Parts: sequence; structure tokens; C-alpha cells
Amino acid sequence: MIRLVFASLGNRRMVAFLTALSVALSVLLFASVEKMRDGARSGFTHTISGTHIIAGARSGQIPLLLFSLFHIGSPTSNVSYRSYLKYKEHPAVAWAIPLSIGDSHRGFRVVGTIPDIVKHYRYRDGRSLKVAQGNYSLARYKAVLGSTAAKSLGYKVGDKLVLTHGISDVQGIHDHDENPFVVEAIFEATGTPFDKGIYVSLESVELMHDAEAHGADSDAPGHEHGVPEGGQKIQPPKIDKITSFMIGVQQPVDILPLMRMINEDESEPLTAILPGVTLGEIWNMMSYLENTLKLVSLLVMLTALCVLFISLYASLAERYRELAILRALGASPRRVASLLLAESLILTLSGIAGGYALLWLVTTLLSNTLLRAFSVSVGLLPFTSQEIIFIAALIVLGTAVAMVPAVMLYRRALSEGLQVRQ
Amino acid sequence: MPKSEAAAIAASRLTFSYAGKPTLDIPQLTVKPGSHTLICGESGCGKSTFLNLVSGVLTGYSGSLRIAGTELSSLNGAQRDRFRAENMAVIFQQFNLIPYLSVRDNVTLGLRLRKQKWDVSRLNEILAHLQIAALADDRAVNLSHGQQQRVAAARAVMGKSPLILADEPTSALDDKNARLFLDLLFREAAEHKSTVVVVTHDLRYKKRFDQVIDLAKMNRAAKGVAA
Repeated sequence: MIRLVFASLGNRRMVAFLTALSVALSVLLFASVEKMRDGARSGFTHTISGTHIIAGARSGQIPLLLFSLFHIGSPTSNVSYRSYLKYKEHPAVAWAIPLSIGDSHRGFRVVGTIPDIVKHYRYRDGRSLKVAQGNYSLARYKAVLGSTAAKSLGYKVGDKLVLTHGISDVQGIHDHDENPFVVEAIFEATGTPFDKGIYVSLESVELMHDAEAHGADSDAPGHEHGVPEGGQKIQPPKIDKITSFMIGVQQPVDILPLMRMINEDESEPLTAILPGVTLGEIWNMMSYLENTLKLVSLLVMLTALCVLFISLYASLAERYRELAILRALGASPRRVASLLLAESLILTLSGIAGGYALLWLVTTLLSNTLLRAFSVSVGLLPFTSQEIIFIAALIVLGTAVAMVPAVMLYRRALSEGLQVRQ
Repeated sequence: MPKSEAAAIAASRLTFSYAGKPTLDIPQLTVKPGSHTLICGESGCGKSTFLNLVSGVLTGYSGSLRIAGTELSSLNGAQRDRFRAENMAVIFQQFNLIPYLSVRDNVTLGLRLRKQKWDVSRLNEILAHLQIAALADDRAVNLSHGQQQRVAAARAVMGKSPLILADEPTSALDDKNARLFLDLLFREAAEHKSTVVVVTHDLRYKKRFDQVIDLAKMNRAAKGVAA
């Protein structure tokens, strides 16, 4: 009997193909909007993972997160390096990475940190940083670029760059001309704001500030360490202030007590945040964006359901006479209904499968571009709950539409169906 | 009344109106089981209407129309379909073949829809007799009118039905093929004790039938037309 269905479909293969194609395109459209929505959200909320706490000088939680991870804005005040060391040595802390964000180079922020950042920094479900080119050491006067920064600035390994104070697209007034940094490595793209950073060691940051201080007003007191000059041995600079630090704990159970401890630190007013929670808060603040995408999803879904109805209805209505013949030859109503159902389900399911095949093709071809251009990671899986609802609705509708000609057939006299209409 | 003794077709005070106009009014018509009846009459005298009522394709008559003892109006749509499938084979005027199926598949379609088995050698013999064996794998849509009519005939004969109804079964056939078809029809009918009712205005072969009914005379609603 399934042969009859395929013979019938084969007879109308063009119409059948177009019907399945219209379903496939609807599925593709809906699923890509959904994947995009989901990708944008998870791309955002998975900007960082594995870091349990971010701490900085007393400030709002959101500003602390924005400058530490997104390099947006500036810290209102700094944290003493002493506090960082204190928490780094805390028994509950597995690792701590300092961040010193302030300087910029042609619009890209310079982040002072320690070489260990590659060991502990994780993003999107625990992926770690990878070096795409060059040798990573983060030694003195060496800079490692995020992929976006490298691409936008056109730097390659071995290029020299000059770092400025503050953020500016033009070269700053206080150019640290004396201290050309060398690009030693470039990170692989992560699809997170990490890509926009220029990473140097904390030491290098201090050295360049010292150099500036000595160059601009050389008799300023308090700078007792050495300036790198030809032949002179370079003293390790004293690191005084950083902007914030990231902490990974030994046991998850330690997170909240440690956070309370930092927030209530009496020696220095500090703020500690859970990055995942704060990212979620920021995303929720931008919920109108997601709601807009949801609305688009909904409209796409309704349109797709209409398209399915119209194309299935049209393709089934033309079979009316055929069905009347089957009925005249003794096919039971159940038999006719199951034929129609089988046909409709074949079209709907192959349309759904085709839609996902197209989506797979598109995501495979474009995922790197999307990731790089929009920091949106798009994959075939997982299915969102909306998608499951949508697919169920398509199948239910496909079934319901198939029943229309069947009901029509039995409500009208058989002789009508058997008449040849010209 | 046991069905074996019942008339194959028994119509009494059978009337039917189409679009408010009475088109059929038959006081009494009986077809004996196993007999071969020819129903003739001019075009528009209600031959096809009568045949469609008998096959249950057309419904909504008044009076009585019993097929093998069963009053057709007592059946609902699905029951009527089943009854038709079990008791009759119909050669429709429009043939009603499925255009995209092969000749072989069209001939066995009714049997497959009813999940009955068939004998391949019997199928081949019938196709050979009607001189369409060479076309067995061709799709119905590619056949000539006459070839399609023979496929429809083969399909009707294939089912060994107790009642074979044929509406103008020789309209597209030349004399030789018409004879071949009638030979087959009567041979199969004799073998399976089938009742045959042929509706036609082609009176070339009337001598081969037990009973010839001129519906133009019998149908009181068609008197005006007939006169």
C-alpha cells in the first residue's frame, strides 16, 4: 500500500517536491531564528565559564563585570595588589588572575594580567584559550592579541605597537613612545569580548607607566625602580594597583562564603560578583531584544503553518478524483484516510528533515563567520523548546490537513468525485 | 429471504431525481442471478443513472433497489463501498483508471485495496486475451482510449465478482476487440456464475444476452425523451 503512496507522490513529484521544499524553508527560517536567539543568549551568558568570582574595588556589580569582561567603561577605583595576593593565598581559592584594564591601543583595551590566564580562563562550557600563532610567554614588553584586535589592527606576530593612556581611536597625547611592545602571539577566536583585548603582563603595564612618569615629570618621587635603558639591568617593577581579579575556588561550596568575605573585607572596600548571575542580569535588562526575536519566531511559525496548510491542501485537493476511484474500487474510509495521512506525513517529515539538513549546511558553512562577526555561536543542537513545539505543530497540522480531503470525499456523493471535470 | 435465491437486481417503483428533475421512474425491473442482461435505450434515457444507482455510486433514490437481497439505501457510505467491493465489479464509462499506475497495478488495484490475493497466471491470461499483455508495465495515462477501456474491463473481470456492471464497455473498441472482450466476459461469468449487466446503445451483440431491456420504454420519466 505504501507503494501506492509513493507512486502517487512520484506522479506529482514536482508539486510534492515543492510542498516539501516550502515546509523545509519554513523550518529553516524558524529554526535559524531560534538558533540565533538561543545562540545570542548563550553567546552572551557564556562569555566566561569556570571563573567563580570576579572581585574589584567597591562598585556596582554590573560596571565591575562590564569593564572586567567586556572592556566597557572604566573602574571607579583600583584594588590594591595586596588584596589580590591575600585572596590568591586563601585556602579556598584554587587560582586567582589579576586584571589591570585602563590603557588602550587604537581603541582596543590593553589588559595587564599574568601568563597563567591561559590556564584558567574558560569560556562557553569550559573551552580554554588557544594560541593561534606565535609563542606565548607574556614576558616583559610582549603583547598577545585577541583575534579581533589582531584582525582589525592588522598586526602579525613580530609587529611592534605603542600603547596609549586611556581609550582613544587616535594616538593619545601620552603615547608611551619609549616602550614599543612586540606582538608575540595571537589568540584563536573565542567569539567573546576576550577577542578584543591586547594582553600584556602586569609588569609591562607598570614599566610603561613608570617610563611615562619618568619621561613626563622625571623628578616625581616614589618611583624608585629602574627604567629600561640600554645596558642597565632592569629591576622587577613593584606592582601596586590592579583593576580587578578573577577567582576559581577549590570547592563550589566555598563560593558564597568567599564572596561574603570579600564583600565584607575591612581592610579595603571590595565588591565580589558571580559572573554568570550578573551576565544573566544584564541579558534580562536587554530582554526586549530577545522578546523581539521571540515575536519574529512566532510570526515565522504562523506563516510556516499557513504555508504548510496551503500547499498540502492544494496538493491533496487535486487527488480528489483519484481518491474517488480508490473508494469506488472498495478502499475503506480508513484506508483512504491512511493513504492521505501517509502522504501528508511523508511531505511534512521530509520537509522538516530537509529544513534541518539545510540548517546544518548553513550552520556548518557559516558558523565560524557568525562566531567571528557577531559572537553568536550557532549549532544544530540543542533544540529549543519552541522548536519542539513548532515541529509538533507542523506534524499535527500535517495530519489535520490530510483529513480534509478524506472528509470531503465521504461527505459528497461518490458520483461527483468520479466525474471528469474539464 | 436467503440471498442465494434473491434476484441479482430487483428494482421496484424506483424513482430518482437529479437537480429537482425526475430522471428515472422504473415500476419493476428484475435481473436473475447468473443471467446476462443488456440494458439499451437512447442517450439520456437514464441508463447510466440506473447503473450508478445499482453500483451505489449515486444515492438518494426512492422506492426499492435490492442487490442480492440487500436494500442499498439501508447502507451508509462506507458500508456501501464495502458492499460494492464485495459484490460487484464495475466498468465505468470513464474507465476510472489511476493514470500513474501501470496496467498491471491498475488491474489488481481493487484486489490489493481489499487485501485479496490473486493468481499471476490468471492476470497474464486476462491481459493476453484482451491483447494488452505487452502493455502490462506501461502507465495507464500513456494508453489509447481503447487500450484503457480494455484495462478497465480486465480489472472488472479479475475480481470474480458475483455481479459485473459495465457502462458502454465497447464504446472505444473495434469489432474484433469488442468480441474478444465479450468472449472473456461471458467465459468468466460462466466460470464464476456471475451476473452480467451491460448498459449500451450498441446493439451489435444483443443476441449473446439472455435479457434485453429497453430502458427508454421502461423508464416513465424518460418517455418524453424517448418519444
